[in-house]
Amino acid sequence: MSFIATVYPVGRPAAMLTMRGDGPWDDGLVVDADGFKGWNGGVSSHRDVTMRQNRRGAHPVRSYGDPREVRANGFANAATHEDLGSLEERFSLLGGDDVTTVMFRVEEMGRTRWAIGYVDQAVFVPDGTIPSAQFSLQLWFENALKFGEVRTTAAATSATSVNYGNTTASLVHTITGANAGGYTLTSGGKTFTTTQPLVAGIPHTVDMETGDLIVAGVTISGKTTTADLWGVPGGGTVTTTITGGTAKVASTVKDTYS
Amino acid sequence: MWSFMLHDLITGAPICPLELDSNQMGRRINDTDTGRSSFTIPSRMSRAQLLSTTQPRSRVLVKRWNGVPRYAHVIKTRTWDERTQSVGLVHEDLRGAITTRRTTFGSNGYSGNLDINNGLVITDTALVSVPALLFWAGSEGPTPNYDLPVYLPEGKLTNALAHSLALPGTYTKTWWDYDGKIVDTAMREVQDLDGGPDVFYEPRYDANGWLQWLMRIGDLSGATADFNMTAAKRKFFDGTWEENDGNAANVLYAFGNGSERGKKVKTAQTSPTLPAAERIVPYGDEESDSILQSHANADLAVWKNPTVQWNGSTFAEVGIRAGGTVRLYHKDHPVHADGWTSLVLLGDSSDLTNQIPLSLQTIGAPG
Repeated sequence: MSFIATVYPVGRPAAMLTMRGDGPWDDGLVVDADGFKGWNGGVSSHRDVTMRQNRRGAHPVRSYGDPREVRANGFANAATHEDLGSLEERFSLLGGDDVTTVMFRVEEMGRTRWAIGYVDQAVFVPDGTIPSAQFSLQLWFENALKFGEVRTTAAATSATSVNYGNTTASLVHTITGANAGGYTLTSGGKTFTTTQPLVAGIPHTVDMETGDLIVAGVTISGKTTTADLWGVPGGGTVTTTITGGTAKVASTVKDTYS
Repeated sequence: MWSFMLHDLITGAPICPLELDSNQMGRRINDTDTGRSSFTIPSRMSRAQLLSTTQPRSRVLVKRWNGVPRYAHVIKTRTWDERTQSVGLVHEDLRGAITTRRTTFGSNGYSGNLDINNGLVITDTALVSVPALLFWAGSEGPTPNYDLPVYLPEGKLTNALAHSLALPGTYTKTWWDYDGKIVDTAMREVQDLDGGPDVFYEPRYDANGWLQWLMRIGDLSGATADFNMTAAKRKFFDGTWEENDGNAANVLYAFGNGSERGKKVKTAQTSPTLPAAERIVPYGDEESDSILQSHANADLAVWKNPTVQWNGSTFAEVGIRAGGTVRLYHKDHPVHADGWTSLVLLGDSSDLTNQIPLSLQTIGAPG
């Protein structure tokens, strides 16, 4: 099994650990042949079913994907016991109290996909006689989505975003320019209008995954009159336009895969 | 994350932090909230310290999110469970624990047999100014143990400050000492009038970490939180909605003093577009026609529409002030109209998780 997986606490890339699926066998973390589970393929799903009374079947209801769980088991090998100790401390950091989320990235089959998740378990058991150990890392992701490239359009009154993934990608718009009366974003018959003043040098962020309008790190409430949201379909494009003074929009999208 | 601190009620001084094994406490505008907690006695805490720091009526349990007070309850009951070796606490907010146990007698107290009648006299005052005057009467007495760290935005709530801030209006009332009126009872009478103000005691810290309550009166809608219900990652969940006509009425009668044909009655009604539903509200020995009409008008305003109750949960980090506005955005929803729906946050409650169940109501509906 040929792959390279890296993991590090978000914001601390210097603490990165690398796990390999095919050696080298004498240094670092090597995943067992059948020790990498949950990353590839879809996840199971859930639905709340209401059965039809005195009729066959149930009322139609779509299902929703479950969170993704990933497990990597294998061996840690080092040249010396001191090197193994250093590796153990970096590994155990992942399960520490001061690590909230981790970046997990996998290169395999000619592609690189990543997601941000949580550490459920980080077990590291030294052999004791030779500088080797067994490890097990279990990660939890709030949904099944994985991501590829991240692209941001140039700031303009019209921004076209492309998603090379296979499922709808969320958009994050960065608004610059100035207009005392706010601005309106539109796309495909949908509208997002805010009356929050846009001040030169203080950009706004409109996160279309949460619906939040954020200015200088503060979520602004009560200033949005219409709050339609939109994303970019898998393999598709979406154009967002902006009106309002000198306002310009730059749209950021992540290639998104289910 | 949540943390807990015990404070002294009279001074607001911090006493010690506390790690709880369980906790449930909330807050409600215009109302009271009772909660429960339990904890294992820390090894550093002696018996004397335990009994002192958790003294009912004297101590306040403050629940803080990232160090900022969110809830403050006065300890009412403490228990010891031999089986689990844990201490249990029952606690209630300031309104329930204190204003229901203070009279309107004020600084001179009351012992009867006075040569002249004594009372709390309110004359030609705006309704919004009355709660502070009422609360003051309950926070001063003949001895220092009536004092409370309750503040108005302009400073500590005192007789002088409350009177200096009182706005002129049409409300006139005397609560005579011989009537033995409880502050909370009088407060509710004022709040139930047409135009009666909302009241909420909001816990906060001063610069030294001492507990204060900011007495917010009148329009509490100064903060807004938006939730977009069409978002993939929304911060409002487990939502429910209920429209209940059970208590609605479009013809209101306020019954006052008197008997049979002499009984005072004032009526208020809306235009008869819906089938008639009548409601009679007794106001005891009330003799004032204008006050009865005010009650009838207020009751009609409250009850003319069905009660619309919303519930849902958000995360503690969102942090919405009690009485603030919560807006929900819907699009192509099977029940709710497209666009924003504005609601008022009546209150919320929390346990040791970061999920906060909210109690919401359509703005203008019965509170």
